[in-house]
Amino acid sequence: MKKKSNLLIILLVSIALSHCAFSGNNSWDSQVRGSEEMPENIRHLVQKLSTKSKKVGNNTGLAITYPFDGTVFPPEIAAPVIAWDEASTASNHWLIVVEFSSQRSPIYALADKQHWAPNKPIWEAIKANSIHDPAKITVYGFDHKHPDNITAKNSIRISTSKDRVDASIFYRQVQLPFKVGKKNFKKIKWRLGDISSYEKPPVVMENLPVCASCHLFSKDGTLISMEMNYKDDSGAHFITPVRENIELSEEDFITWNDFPKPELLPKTRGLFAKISPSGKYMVSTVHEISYAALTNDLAFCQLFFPTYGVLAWYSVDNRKFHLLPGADDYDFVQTGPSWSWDEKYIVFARSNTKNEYHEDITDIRTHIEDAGIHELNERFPIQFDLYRIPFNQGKGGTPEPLEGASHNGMSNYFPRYSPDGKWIVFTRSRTGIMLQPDSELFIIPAAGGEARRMRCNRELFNSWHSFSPNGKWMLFSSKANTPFTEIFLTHIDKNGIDSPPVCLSRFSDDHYAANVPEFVNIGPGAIKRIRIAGHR
Amino acid sequence: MKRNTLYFILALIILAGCSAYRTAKFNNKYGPVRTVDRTVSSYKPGEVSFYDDVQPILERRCDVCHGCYDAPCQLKLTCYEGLERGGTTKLVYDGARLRAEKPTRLFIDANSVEEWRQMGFHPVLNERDQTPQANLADSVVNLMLQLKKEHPQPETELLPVTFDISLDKKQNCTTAEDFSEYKKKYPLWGMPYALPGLTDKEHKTIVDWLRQGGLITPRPEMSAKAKQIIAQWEEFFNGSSLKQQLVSRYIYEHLFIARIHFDTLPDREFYRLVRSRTGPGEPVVEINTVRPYDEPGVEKFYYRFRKIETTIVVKDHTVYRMNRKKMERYRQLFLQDDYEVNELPSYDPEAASNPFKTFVDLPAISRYRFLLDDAQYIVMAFIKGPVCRGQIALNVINDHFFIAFFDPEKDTISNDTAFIASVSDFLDLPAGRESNLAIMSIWTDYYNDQKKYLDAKEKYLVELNPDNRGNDITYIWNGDGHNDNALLTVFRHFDSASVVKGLVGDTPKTGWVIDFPLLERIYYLLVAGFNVFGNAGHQLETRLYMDFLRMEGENNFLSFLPRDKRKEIRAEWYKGARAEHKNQLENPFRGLERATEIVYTTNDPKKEFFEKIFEYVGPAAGPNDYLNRCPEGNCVDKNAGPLEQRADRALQKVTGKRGPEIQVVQDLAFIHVVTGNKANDLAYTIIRNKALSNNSFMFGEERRRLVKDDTLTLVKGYVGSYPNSFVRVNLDEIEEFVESFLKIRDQLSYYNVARKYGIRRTSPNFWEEADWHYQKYLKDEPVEAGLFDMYRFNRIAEKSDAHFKW
Repeated sequence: MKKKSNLLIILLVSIALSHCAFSGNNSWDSQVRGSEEMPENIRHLVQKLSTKSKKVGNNTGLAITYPFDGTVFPPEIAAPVIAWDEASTASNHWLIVVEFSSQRSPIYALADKQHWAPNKPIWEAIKANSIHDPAKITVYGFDHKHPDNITAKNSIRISTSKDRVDASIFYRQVQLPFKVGKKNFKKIKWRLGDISSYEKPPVVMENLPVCASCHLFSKDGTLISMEMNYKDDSGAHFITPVRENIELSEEDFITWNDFPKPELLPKTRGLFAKISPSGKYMVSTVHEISYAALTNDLAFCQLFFPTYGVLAWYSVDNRKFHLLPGADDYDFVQTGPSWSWDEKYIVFARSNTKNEYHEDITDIRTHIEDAGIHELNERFPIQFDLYRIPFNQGKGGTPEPLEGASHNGMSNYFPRYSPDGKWIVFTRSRTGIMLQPDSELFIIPAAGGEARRMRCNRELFNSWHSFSPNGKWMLFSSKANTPFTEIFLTHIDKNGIDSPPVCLSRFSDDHYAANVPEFVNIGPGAIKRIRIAGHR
Repeated sequence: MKRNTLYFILALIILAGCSAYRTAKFNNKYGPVRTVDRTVSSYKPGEVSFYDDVQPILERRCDVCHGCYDAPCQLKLTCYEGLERGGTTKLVYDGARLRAEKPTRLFIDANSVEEWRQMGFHPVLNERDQTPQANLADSVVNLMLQLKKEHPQPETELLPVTFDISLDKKQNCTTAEDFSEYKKKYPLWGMPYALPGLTDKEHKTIVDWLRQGGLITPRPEMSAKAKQIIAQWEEFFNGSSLKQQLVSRYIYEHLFIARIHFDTLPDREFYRLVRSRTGPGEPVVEINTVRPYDEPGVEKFYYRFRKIETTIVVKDHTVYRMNRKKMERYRQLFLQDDYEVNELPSYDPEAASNPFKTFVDLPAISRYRFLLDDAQYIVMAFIKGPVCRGQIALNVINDHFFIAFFDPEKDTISNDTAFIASVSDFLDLPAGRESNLAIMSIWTDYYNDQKKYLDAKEKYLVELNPDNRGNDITYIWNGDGHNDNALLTVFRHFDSASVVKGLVGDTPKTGWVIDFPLLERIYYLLVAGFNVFGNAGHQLETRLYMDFLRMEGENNFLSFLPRDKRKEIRAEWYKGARAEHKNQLENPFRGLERATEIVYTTNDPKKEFFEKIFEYVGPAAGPNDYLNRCPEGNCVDKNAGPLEQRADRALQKVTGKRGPEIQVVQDLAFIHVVTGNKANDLAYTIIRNKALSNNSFMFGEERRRLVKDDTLTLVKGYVGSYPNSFVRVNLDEIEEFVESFLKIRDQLSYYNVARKYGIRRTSPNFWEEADWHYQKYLKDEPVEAGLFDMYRFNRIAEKSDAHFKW
């Protein structure tokens, strides 16, 4: 039974993936070439449309699964795969019609599979003509046996923003389920992606002998920082200038373990450390104790959250660590800090400590659990609230709960400021702080206020979001299509209104989850390789 | 023969061979072992004096562990004789031994070093050639101090886990010859063990004294005043009339473990009442029977007072005060002409172990009043008396309960000599059969006897009260209006316990009301008849029989509560299916059918009863415990100064903390409130009372824990002998400390508070704090105070990979 269900999952995953990955078939841009040159098979179907299409309404069992209705694309993005799903098996070939509200002629395409990837010229034409008004994409289903009938039909509208992304995306790929071990570390890859590219983003770091994790860049993209267990120091973190070939050496590393700790506590990892936008400071959870359980579930293979910890900051200039007043209360766990872009504020997640979850606080272990994420969540609930303090050059201040993101019966975490300082987007779920099936993105005014669920949220797991440097776009991860997390991109307007997202299908992989994506203010190719000196 | 056995035997032979080789090496180097007379009439100029220089160091740094029966390796450093006796691997506390052990009571069971050697004690002072070199090389004391010097206490926050400070730590009783092995195995285990070492000056003083041969001068003679007082008392106890002899025996059997203090002698001078082969005026030759009612073995013996020459450690310090008034009281109680003694009872164990038979001629009310006069001492004797720490026996009681007594004038069970005599067969105690393994007799014999006794008592009370009237408040002894022993509180701290006067702490789960037969039986069971060197059977029987007595005391208490609430209240004390079943079998509701005459007006009769008796007892009950029973949470002693009031106000808040959150709080914490003026510094004790679902079983206490019902009690001054932690807090920070304390809810939050305010085993100021508490105790209670034991001083936290350096 289990085997069968696994097969089913794989099948479903494959189908879902195909929506993001398949390339196009026959297409015809009637604006570019006259109708007399139109291939016969397309012409035949187009003619039928004029007589039959009005008799066929939408929702005839055909659903366009991608793009989503209302999706806004960046102007520089490479072509997506348009995919649909027909519940019945009535159709065996499909006509795709892209219509524009302007006088521009439609674009036609014929597919014998349930997806179509426009080629670059076609896609560029679609984008260019969907800036002011959306383009309408309609998919018609036909059956060879009954060539006169339209068996299915559905439409969506997409548009293209004038706002460019103008940034690369740095992200990590890991195999699932995630198991701790050197063997797995070596398989982890880091890629630097360009959304305009039709190629898979190049790998810039791989085959590491140690674990590496969260990373962030300075606002101007000149500095990269990343958690990396250099020389087996789990608190090690490198900060180094961005360059084509980054060779990491001793002087690039700091270690959060240099922050004095009470003897009883385990070594500090520098959990969820964040470099400040200017690159002058870092802030991180220190003195932390975490609960970690690994499971064999492909999608939700770990439950992880700190049960104890305070925030400390680090001065990059004078290489000194300090507790951050206001986020240094040992009666709580304070974690997941985030800088405002002007470095005036730090927002972080706070919860009552949960050290009772550890059998022996002096001997913290990663649990291997034969239980699903929902059962683990029931057994180990934790809810975080978002608090804000002034950074105040390290002097901190009084923590204030953020309205809309605190004391709402949910867990609120991973806050990120919009670059214009107006908004905070955070993740919310019933419990936990990471990898939660029900996690969704919410947006609030930066000083707190009513929380609004974002339109970009997909059905399953939405988190790890990052704003583009110009603030117009936000990317995030989701498992809506596959357990192997994918990266999505949503447009955010000046009112904080987001759009149904774009799936960055070329960033996806059948065997790797794409996670911790971060926008970086550099062009493609700015980093070609990152490696540890002396290591291949 | 199996291969493993062969290997084992070979290993033993090799080990024995190594040891023999090392001894031979010592013989060659330092000469053979022989008796050493270290006595000198006086020291030469420049020499170190034991009494003036060495003993004060031993007292403050060594006796905090090496005192009483639980001194590691039985090495008692509380006096020169203990040092000279040395150590042994034999355990005093051994709940599993099949045969009773020969007692090893210092000053009692051997009279010379040779005798101790024959009993298996090895020297810790040099007994080879008396050369400066050998005096150090052959002295375990020197070697242990030297080891600590070479490997001082780690300067880390957490004491390395390689230090075993558990109660069941394996003994490592090394000799000088085998010390090299010990040193190799345990480089950090020099003395003082798991505590900071001596200062250079202290170290040098002791080493110099050892180097000069451990010389000792005679003790100063007893003062003339002491001689005079003792002569008067010895004359009293050794009166020749049968009545006097019987009375002396009765008093002796109750005071044989007492630290007797004569009011007109210096505060720290104490005596023991002993049986001696020699009469007044001659040196005391103590008769070393195991129990006070054992056959003395001589035709004529004398009751004599023997000065206590050891450092006073609080864990076995049971003070009994004597003065002129006390002698008058004895005469008034026992030596009136209203009864006669025509024959002296025997010392046959069967009869002698039953005080109701032995002392049947003495009026019951006199005996009861004698016990009540110093009830705290009697109850304290149960707890500290012969054992200084309990074993399985202590889990027979709850961690916190109140005790009241039946009024001797009103309670006929306590004052009817004839009735008590008539039921004395039922009141036999297990000690009458000496150490044996017939544990089943507890149920076959003693339980049946107990049942018969309770039936007889019930029948008698029914006859006396045909109208079936129950107890009213006047049945509680009010201390005759002035005796502050009327109400007592017991605290159990795992394997030790304390008893204090008054009702201290919040309303406890249970209470006992004790009458004469019960009080006397508890005393004879746990004190006079208890042999700490006895076998497992004896110890188990004592524990099991004590169950019956506890239930009797609890049922007496219930008899004062509303009849319709008794079952419900008692069910709370015996939760758990097995406990309920056992309770039904062993503890039927005998004598609980009569309604109390006390009128209750609240739904919490237990609390109301304690309030009523507190009010009824009046001045003898002492002041109200405003620290623990303050409904508004802001009570102060109006007579206290502003500093004390501030500390009281802040600290009393800790008593509101209870349940699972206090699991990490230590059983006994001593708090030093630093006021800025040393003379005004304050001391408090926080006691953790651990709740149990029931006390019905000897084992599996952890399974019976009811952590949700755990409570804290705050006491001004000191309660307990074995502090588990010290807290030092400036008065200016007292509110902040309490606020942090109230936030404790797990090991980590406790650790955070402890590392800020606690004194650790590795704290450089550990000894300074220990000394302060001792001095404060001496100042507050100059007679009752003693050295606290540090053996149970706990780590603030334990971490297996905590690094350390020295």
